Amino acid sequence: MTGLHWESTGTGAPVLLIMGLGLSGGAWWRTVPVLSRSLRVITFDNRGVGRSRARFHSYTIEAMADDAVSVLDAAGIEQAHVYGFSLGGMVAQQLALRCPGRVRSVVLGATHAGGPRAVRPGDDVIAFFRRRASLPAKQAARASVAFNYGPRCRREHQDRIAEDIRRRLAHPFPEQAYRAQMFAAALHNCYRRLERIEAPTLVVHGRHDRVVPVGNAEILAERIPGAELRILEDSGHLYSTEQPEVDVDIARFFRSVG
Amino acid sequence: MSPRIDDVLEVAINAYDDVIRRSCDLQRTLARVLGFEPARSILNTTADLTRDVAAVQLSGARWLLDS
Repeated sequence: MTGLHWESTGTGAPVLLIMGLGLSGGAWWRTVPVLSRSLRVITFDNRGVGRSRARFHSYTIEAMADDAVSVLDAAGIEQAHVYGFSLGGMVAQQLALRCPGRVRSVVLGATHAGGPRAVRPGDDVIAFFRRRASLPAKQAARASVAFNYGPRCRREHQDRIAEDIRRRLAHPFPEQAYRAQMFAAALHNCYRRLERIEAPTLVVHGRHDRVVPVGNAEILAERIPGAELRILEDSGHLYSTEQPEVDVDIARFFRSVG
Repeated sequence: MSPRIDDVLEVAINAYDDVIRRSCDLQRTLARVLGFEPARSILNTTADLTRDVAAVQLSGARWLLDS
């Protein structure tokens, strides 16, 4: 049986946060305090990660979107703002397409539309993420720094990176779940259907993202009607560590939608 | 691929997607209505399998269409 762990913080219009590859809902630790000043923030552990369990170790983005709907149901929320990061952004796209009535607005962070038109990362990045699951957790976390963070953060904010790693190592993820999420991401393809997303959309991306190249944000913003695009010039993939002030802008976006 | 064939294929793929979604919804509704085991678990499991197998098929079809 799939069982999902979720948490609710703050009061106000509801926002559902969907985390990326291998990370639990706790990885939103920088974002939740900012958003929850004026919004009700729902975080959850994706299936197979953290305190959530999966019945099968074979996932699809569609299944993960259904999980997100289950979390909204459990929290008694009919409609929510949705903020998906990386793999979570793929889930957010599916959610906006499959259940438009449940999505008030969408923020797509460091993600892509999938399919052959997606801008692929370099071969070294792909090779690293393929072998990452078989590395010891600490070694994998340290080795991923070169891919996850932009040059400025690696130069000036080693303390923030160390804090991220410390928290990540507190919730190591099972190899099976990681591989299942990689499989789901590989199947993801919303490219042709993006124009059917009706919810107000903000696309956020780091200029120096090596994991999901910034060209993907431009594709998303071009194809989703009325989407806003915010490129963070000093950031890589994990932009909320590198430019945490972006969370204030994201909260403002949600409030502006209402 | 000419634009016309492209459009027809896209409509067909989206129609298949809709049929799958309705099939899954029906199975889940039946599971709720019946409400007893093992019928409920079996129906929920088949709904999940229907969704996930179709997701693989649809992804492949859309990939070919976009190529």
